[in-house]
Amino acid sequence: MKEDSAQDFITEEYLLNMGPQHPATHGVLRLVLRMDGENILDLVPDLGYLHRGFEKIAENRTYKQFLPFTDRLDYLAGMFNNHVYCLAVEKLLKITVPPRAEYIRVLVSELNRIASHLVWFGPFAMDLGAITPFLYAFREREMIIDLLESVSGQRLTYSYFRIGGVAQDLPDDFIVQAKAFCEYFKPKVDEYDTLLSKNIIFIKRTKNIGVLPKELAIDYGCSGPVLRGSGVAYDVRKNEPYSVYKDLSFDIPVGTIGDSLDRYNVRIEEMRQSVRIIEQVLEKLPGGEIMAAVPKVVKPAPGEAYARIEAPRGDFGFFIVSDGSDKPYRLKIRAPSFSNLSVLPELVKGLKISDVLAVFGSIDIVLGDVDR
Amino acid sequence: MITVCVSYMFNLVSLFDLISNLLLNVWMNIGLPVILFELIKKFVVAGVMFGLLSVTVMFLIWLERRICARFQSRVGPNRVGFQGFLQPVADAIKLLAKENIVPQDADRLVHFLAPPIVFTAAFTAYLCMPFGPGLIALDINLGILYIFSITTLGVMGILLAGWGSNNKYSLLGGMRSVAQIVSYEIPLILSVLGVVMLTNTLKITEIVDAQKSFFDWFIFRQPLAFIIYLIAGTAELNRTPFDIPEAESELTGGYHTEYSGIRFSMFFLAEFTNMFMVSAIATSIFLGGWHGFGFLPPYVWFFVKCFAVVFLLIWFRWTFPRMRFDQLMDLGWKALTPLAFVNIFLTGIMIFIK
Amino acid sequence: MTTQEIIRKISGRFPTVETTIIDGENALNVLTDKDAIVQLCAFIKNELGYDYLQFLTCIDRLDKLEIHYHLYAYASQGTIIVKTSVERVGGKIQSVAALWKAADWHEREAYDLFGVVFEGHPGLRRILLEEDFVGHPLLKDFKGKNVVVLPKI
Repeated sequence: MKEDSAQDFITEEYLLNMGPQHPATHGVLRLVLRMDGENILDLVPDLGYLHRGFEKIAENRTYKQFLPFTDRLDYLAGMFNNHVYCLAVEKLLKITVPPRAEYIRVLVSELNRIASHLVWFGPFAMDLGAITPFLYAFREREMIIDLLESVSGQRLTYSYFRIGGVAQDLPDDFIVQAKAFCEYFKPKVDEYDTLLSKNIIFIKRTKNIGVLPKELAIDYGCSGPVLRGSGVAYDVRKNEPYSVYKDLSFDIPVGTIGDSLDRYNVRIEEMRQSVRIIEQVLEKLPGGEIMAAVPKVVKPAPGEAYARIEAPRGDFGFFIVSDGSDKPYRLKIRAPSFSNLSVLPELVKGLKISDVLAVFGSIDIVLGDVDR
Repeated sequence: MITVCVSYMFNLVSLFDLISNLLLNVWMNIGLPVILFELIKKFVVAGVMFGLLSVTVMFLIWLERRICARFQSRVGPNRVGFQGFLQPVADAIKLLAKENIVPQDADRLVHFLAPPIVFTAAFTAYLCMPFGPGLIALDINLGILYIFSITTLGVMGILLAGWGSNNKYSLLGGMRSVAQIVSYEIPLILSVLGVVMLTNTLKITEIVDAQKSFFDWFIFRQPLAFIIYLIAGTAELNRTPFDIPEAESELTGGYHTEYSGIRFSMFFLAEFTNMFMVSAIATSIFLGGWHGFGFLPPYVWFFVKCFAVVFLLIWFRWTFPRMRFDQLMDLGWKALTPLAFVNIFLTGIMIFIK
Repeated sequence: MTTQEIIRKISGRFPTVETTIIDGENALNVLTDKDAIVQLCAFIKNELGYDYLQFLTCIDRLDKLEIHYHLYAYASQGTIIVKTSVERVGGKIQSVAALWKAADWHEREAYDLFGVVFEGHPGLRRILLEEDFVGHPLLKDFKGKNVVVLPKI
């Protein structure tokens, strides 16, 4: 009897196209899902919708000309892209950046990190169906954007860094305003906790969802909060300090099992740590020059350099090969989102369609970064 | 004169009777049959109710947008009309003027039928809803049963919409919606059953009349039932945290993804009408209906209570994240339904002891 | 494990491999023949503990295609850059996707942009460009209709 009815009831697998225009793919990513009802059997990401060929463009631009392009990589964290590019070129040129410039770089980078994490926090909550946190996050982000605008003149694509320093000094009241922002922002993070982090539905949606074991995270080359969420206490700022991070004290938040909730908590805690760093930088900010002596035409000696930093999305690197001319011979961008995204198919197998968003959101990718 | 006006304000039924009798006299004088008058009267009542409901729903849409804006430290619509009161009207006109897009591969008939079904189901349920003493279109014995069965018909429309759109997201939304509404219908009705057992009637006017004084309100005698009703009712409405059939971040809008223009507005209006229905039932069954504390006409009390419940629903929506499909089923079948049974059992014991 | 020890271990196992230290960093350049790439990478990963493939990329040297594997060890926090080279056009090399899963997408990217065929790769196809794209744009002689070479300053 039972067998008969099972035979009558025919089920079929089907393909579901998520994106490239879909509210939850945060840009133009296409996810092809093989589904059985609500359950996911397989997921194949299809990238490249935002591929602009920056690596090719770089070969046809001088070192200084390429700087504004870097902003468009991870467009939510423009400062970091500038930073790592400048670091790589400075390494080729063997330039030392003046301390004030280094401190300013760290200052704006950390502000940018908070802004970037806020743009992750809001949409992540929205993916899970809570809309209000999105607007709270953007309220705070607006203040950071205003601060960064007062420094660089831009709101998103800053191009504030220069090879050898930064474009201009901080405006007069910047330090006061940055301090005021820190004071304002600290209770706000607690507010996010009350609103979302402690919500039972939120915890049920994210706990034990998309568990990424330590070994797998390393194997897939994951970095940043995704790696730390899995329990690897690795942060380029701490383990291979660049700029002035050596002189600043901050903690590296680490998760335990590597589920979506861990990755969430790591990022929330990172915002707090960034505030800590900003406060220290504001205290320690030295005077002096903001630009090193850099030749008008940047022509590094033949050679290669790899610089990497801890961007909001992870281990961000620029590999530049110079042939002695004024243009990079080859420029490779090591994008954190690219590797982080590659782990997604592994994480969502056997989960429900709603969980894809809980996992995908917690990985936090930027398509400009993935596709370059 | 003023006292007469005020007394009519408090007793709308006698006002209506007065007008109707006046008109009937005129009618008789012309020499037309009474039966035709009665027929026309029914249509007029239906029209008035439809108009009233539409206005209420428009107000509700405005209210939701303003309240959620306050929650989100925004301002909300405040340009069209006084404080943006006319914003829903403007939106409605915009939607009416829009093109009615039907997907190429859609099942055209099904796609066409779905919105009117949802819309009609949402509006006809009000037939048995008493807004005040005597202010009810059709006071039937099975009032509660009628309302629940009619509102459940709406799910047919949603399923048709999901199927007819020929879109995987819509279909998923439709399937989810059916599963959800069918599962939550059970605790919803069971929770009301406790009240029915206490009052021995399914007639809503009688249930309301059983709650004349403040402490007679069934929310105090059936607190568990009220909580179950509120949760299940929110689920019936497909609102956050139970908005999985729409889930714009997962299913890009679910069953109404492929609808535009007036058909979309039908879904939209039906959603808010249902929202008001859930609040109205909660008010009638648990919060004493039109019985208030004097100084205001009874129907005003009714609306005040309704909007209090509506506010609660809006509050839910803009605070909570969305639940997952299986978690929703777990909650419905493993928590709410057994609790509702426990509630009925306890009520039975209470009645038995008395 | 110091850098010297690592050099000794590598050259003990692979005598033909050339190893140089990069100044000022805990990093090594390892030059190898392309046929030995999988054995060398397996050795570096399993016995030296370089568990993190940062990225994999190619450099068009006009006479050959250089392939770089940037490897990192979380334990010793050191970097090894394995360098090898293949023919510019139609170059073939063994895939390391079985060693690091990260190599999967990076090899696809290298294939996409440079045309290197990674043998034994689980699903080698274009990743960033569309499937019907002709050519491999990061080769120096690539002529696309939208590529404009700027004049030298």
